[in-house]
Amino acid sequence: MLRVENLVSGYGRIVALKGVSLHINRGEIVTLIGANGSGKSTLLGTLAGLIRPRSGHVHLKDREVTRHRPEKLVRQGVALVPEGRQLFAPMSVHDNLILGAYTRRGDTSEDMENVLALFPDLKDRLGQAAGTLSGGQQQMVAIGRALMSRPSLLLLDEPSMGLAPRISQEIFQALRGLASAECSILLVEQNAHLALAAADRGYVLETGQIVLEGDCETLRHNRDVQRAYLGRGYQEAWEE
Amino acid sequence: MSDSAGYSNLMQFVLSGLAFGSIYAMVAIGFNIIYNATGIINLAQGEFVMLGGMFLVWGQDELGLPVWAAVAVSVLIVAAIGVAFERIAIRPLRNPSVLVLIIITIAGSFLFRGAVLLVWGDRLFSCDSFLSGDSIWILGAIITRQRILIFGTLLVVGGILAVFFGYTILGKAMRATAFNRTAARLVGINTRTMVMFAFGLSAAIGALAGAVVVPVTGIAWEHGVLLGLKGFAAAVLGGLGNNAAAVVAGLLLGVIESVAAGTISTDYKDAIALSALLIVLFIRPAGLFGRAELTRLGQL
Ligand SMILES: Nc1ncnc2c1ncn2[C@@H]1O[C@H](COP(=O)(O)OP(=O)(O)OP(=O)(O)O)[C@@H](O)[C@H]1O
Ligand SMILES: [Mg+2]
Repeated sequence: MLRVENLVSGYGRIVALKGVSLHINRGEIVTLIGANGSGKSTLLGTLAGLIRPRSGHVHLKDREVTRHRPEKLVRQGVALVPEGRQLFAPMSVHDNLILGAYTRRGDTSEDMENVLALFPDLKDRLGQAAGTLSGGQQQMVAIGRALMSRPSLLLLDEPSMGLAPRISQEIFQALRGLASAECSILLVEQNAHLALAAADRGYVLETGQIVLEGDCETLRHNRDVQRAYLGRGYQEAWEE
Repeated sequence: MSDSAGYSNLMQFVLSGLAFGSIYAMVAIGFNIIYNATGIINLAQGEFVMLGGMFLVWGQDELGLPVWAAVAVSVLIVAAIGVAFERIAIRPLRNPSVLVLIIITIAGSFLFRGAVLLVWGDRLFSCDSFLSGDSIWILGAIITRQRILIFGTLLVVGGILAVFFGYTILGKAMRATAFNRTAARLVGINTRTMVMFAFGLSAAIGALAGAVVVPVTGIAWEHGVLLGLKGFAAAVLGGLGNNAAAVVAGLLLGVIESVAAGTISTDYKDAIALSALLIVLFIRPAGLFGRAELTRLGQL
């Protein structure tokens, strides 16, 4: 589905990704965990076309899409739910969702219904300015907007950030239901507990390099991962 | 002077002022559209207005077109000039600062003015009223048909824009680009096309304003400066970027100007708009109706 080879990317002189390779199979949820500044957002930004990589290759469904612009990548099935949600804040929830389907021709009412079925909280707020919603609802709008383009690859950048645990779990539940043969997911998280519980496989990114990969079960029992990302206090909180 | 005469005089000034106010409002909308799409204050906006008037006269006199066709031709040509200006002078720059872009628009305004002076000279051009017939009595004042037409043009332009930005996907995409460019790209909007479109639309609206004003004031190569400045005053008065407020502010400016010219002296007519602009910039930089956030103007 997605194959990334030796991707090098960054900002000006800063090299934030130093040769990243990974792949996602059809229908999989793959998570990428890593500390602050390890390059997670840079990877997603590069995959979505916002940042041009210096070298390396990105293949989507066996087609090379390296250095395509975001406008083009959306049409090829890549949708990014960016860090900090990036809604069109003064516009209504409805308009935010409709704009998600900007690249599509024809009837999108079915997609709108699907999004509202996934996030029923939004139903009563379609006319409300997106910027006035709660953090969790804004995240739902951001995910919904991405889904409106009918992506085959959904990229999510820390969807749990700043949300109450209960809301995060609700959103992750929805994500689990989304992954299908038509839609694979790459999930970036700092909350490794949530991420490893939701995903099929995972990668660990450290200062721009992949240092570990494996299925979630293996990663959860890896001692380095436990020490760095699954602090004990956290684990207890999770099991409550 | 009796009270009723005083009233009808005042009414006369108010209603006459609405016509010029409509022009200022349309120029202000032009400023807003480009400002929203790019953060630039396009100081060539007044020249689009002037070019609109010039090409109207050209269409009538040189091509022998009927007035409505000449308006359409003028608007199309000036829209094309706006698009070309964006493609040639604005787009090729990589990561320009807002200040650099504004200076480029100043250079553009000199270029347009110089070209018109070269081609058509410094004559004042004029044309007949678009609608034949006598002036009309309204609320005790007598108003020419052309002035009513100018006001009507503003209403139509305002209405069309409200529908365009509020209900069409292209209009929503332009607003989305203004609010969050990164997010706009992520949903597949070609933000460069939106910027180009903004220039075309602004130029077209400016040209329309310039065309309808010709029968009232005539048009000459240097008229764009003052029209642009007053439109800018209206845009700032309303709070940059807000079209509904710009319409109110433009009309207000036109009326104040007209009443002051009629009751104090015509000599101070132009100074009034500029004083209003300066006072607002000092006291309420976000505009009469704006909230305190002076986000993008603050970048300068
Ligand atoms: N716009 C930018 N300009 C310059 N350097 C940047 C920029 N954005 C990020 N960086 C740098 O690139 C590196 C990777 O940043 P990135 O945002 O990808 O990390 P991240 O893993 O997403 O972190 P976080 O968990 O805080 O979101 C960091 O060293 C960061 O300082
Ligand atoms: Mg990040």
